[in-house]
Amino acid sequence: MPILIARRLLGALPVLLGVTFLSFLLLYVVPGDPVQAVAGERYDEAVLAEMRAELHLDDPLLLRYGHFLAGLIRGDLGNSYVTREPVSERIAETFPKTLALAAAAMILAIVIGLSLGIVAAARPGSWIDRSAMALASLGISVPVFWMGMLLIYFFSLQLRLLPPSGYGGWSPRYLVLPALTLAGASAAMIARMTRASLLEVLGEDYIRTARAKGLPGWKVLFVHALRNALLPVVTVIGNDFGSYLGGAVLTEKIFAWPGLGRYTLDAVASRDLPAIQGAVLVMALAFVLVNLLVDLSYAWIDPRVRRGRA
Amino acid sequence: MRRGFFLALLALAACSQSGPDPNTFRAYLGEEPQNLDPAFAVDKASGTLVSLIYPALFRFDVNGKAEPDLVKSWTLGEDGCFYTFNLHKNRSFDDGSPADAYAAAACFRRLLDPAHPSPRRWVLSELVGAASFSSGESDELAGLSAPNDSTLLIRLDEPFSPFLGLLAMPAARIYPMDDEGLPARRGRLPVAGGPWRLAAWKRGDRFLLERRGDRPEGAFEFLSFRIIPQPFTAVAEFEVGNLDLLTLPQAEIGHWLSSDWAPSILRRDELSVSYLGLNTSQAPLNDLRVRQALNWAVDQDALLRTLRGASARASLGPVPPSLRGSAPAESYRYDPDRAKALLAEAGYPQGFQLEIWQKENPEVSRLLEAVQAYLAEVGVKVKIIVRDWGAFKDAVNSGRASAFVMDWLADYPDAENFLVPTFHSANRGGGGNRASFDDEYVDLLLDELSRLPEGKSRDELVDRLNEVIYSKAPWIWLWHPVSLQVLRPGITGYQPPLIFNGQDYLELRHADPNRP
Repeated sequence: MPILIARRLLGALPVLLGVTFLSFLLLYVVPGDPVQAVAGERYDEAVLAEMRAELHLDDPLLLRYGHFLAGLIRGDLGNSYVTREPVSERIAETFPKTLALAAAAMILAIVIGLSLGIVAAARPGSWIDRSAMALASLGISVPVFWMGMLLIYFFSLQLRLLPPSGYGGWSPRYLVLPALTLAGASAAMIARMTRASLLEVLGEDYIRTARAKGLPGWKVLFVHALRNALLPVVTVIGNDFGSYLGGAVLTEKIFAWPGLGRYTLDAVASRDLPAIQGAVLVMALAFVLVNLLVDLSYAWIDPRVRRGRA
Repeated sequence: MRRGFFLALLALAACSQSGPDPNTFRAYLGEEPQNLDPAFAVDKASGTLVSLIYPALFRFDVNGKAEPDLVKSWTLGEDGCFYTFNLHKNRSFDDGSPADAYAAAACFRRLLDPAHPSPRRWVLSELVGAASFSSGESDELAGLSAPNDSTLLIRLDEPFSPFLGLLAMPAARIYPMDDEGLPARRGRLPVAGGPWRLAAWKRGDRFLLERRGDRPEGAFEFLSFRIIPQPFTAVAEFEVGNLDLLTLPQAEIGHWLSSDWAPSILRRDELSVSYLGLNTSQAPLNDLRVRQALNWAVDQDALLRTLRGASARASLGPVPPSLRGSAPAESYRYDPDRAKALLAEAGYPQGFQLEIWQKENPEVSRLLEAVQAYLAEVGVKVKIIVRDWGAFKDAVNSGRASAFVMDWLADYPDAENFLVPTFHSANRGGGGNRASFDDEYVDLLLDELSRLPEGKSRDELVDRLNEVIYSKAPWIWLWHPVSLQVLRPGITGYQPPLIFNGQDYLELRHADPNRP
């Protein structure tokens, strides 16, 4: 197992390098000028040229990328063009908030999604199944934006139960609405995936054997079927969690959540290259780690995977 | 399982509800300030905060008048170029260093210093010797000196009557410097010297400002600014009582004006103009008749009524009504036949293709869809090009966009700010003249405007320029926005400022003195 982890982490290095180089290249090609973005609406071309020189924007692409890599090796992500402050400080501030939001959303999605999926699969075709799946379709199709506004309207404006926005210095009350908003689509996906996967497994021979042995229905469902049905569900969870760690831009914007997504969005808008590079790197790293966790959990859930890899 | 979970959520929610702190006035900003270094504070949010935490020679009052701040008295020489400022002797920053003439000279020098290229260099570029100092040719800056701690001398190349307004801009704030010549900080917070100090700064979330001077009875000790990027969210926060001041988003205005809140709504004509710029250096827009035809083809009043309602006034030329005396004698009205005749005269009886660029914004999209329909009636086929702000700005400033929707916001409340940067041929592109307007006669008048002292002949020249530029149609004239704000009842002393950094929040009071 440790060998597997080490191999995967080493294998991630070229991925991370590739991601930083691609984003570097992309920003080089995309129209938009980082210096114009910080110059306001009235400026003198001569000053802009000086600012460009000061920020080394006139250097050749590869030289600039080399500087970035050299800084990276020293653990320095550079300074933002906009705030002139170290990018690493802001990432260290924003990433934990995004992580908290993503984790809360994922827990909600798993709890809601698995419950719905299991309930639906236990009585396929029943009204419970149909309404659970209708709810899931709704969860997938409702835009995040609208969902967020609905939740604010209902829980904050009408019921006055939860604050509409902000992160409130880690008070969990502030986490509930954005996490629910973010969880919606994932919960729905998980529910549908769980139902489909469970129904497939429930048709297998060993389930018939378990039932024939006279085991109670719940035991067959939870002990024999669920574990085997989880593999595809875990994949969905891993994918969604990975992308949440990249910042749920819309959710963070609606709820004024000071996370990595909003930070990155602002950085892209102002073509703040060091900030974008730093954020992209952290996101890619988070994705790689989550994928590793997903693979490890496969091995835990399914012994066949473990043996196959060894 | 699910039900139990929701009950837990509700229980969690119900506890720890705390009321608002009566010592704090709670406002918000729509975006994260970019940079609190005055030399780099170019956005509205940064400018607002910078103006609250740092002193200046002058500061704008709510009506946009430049009132003395660090300055006790001043004189202007007869040539209109030589300013002598006498500064108060007892003003200091939070680190104990004096906010005196030496500090002011150091900050102004830094703004022009080529070692820290500042995008706001233009604010002081009229000082004698500024050009050679900024280019690094000379260490001397003849137009700026501080002979003692309470006297600051400034000499301009040419008279410039709105100069005191420039000194009230965020870029001209005075701050203490550290050893590296950057604004001094204590930890990560700037060392203040203005009406407020920054007590806490949670990036991306909120700023908390603490009053520096004595607190009169009923006044607020703290001023907080949440960062709320989504207007709907700000409305919700105001409605649940978490904000004391709300700027109404466009979509909410009608609803609020007909609600119980209507008496608490404060209106202010903004010093800004929204326009559809036409690149006058490109065919066919280089033809005056074509540009005029486009203005005749668009029903400005209908656009205003349906898209903006109460929140804008028709723009009759670039200068907002509050900064000029009279409107142009003849104005464009909706007249598609006249537009067609003009297009035919210019050699485009079948119309032409026109690309209009916009930044991503639903309100601008609605506007352009309407404009597209109006122009189609006279044969002009509009292609709308949507880009994100960075790419849009790049295309407009470089002259690649033939037509584009933009706003121009005043830096200081003077008509000159709506005329010289925006229409002088020397300012084409990033200088502000994005229509690439180039007219010798207008240039001459604009040069004269810059030199003229305040008075009747200057006022007349403003009206004349406004009228001439209006008729030359480098823009399709749209509107001057009006802002609508709602103040929580029970609080007095707030007026929406004419210019964005013209509110110091010092006069705010609880109307009920029994509240702390």
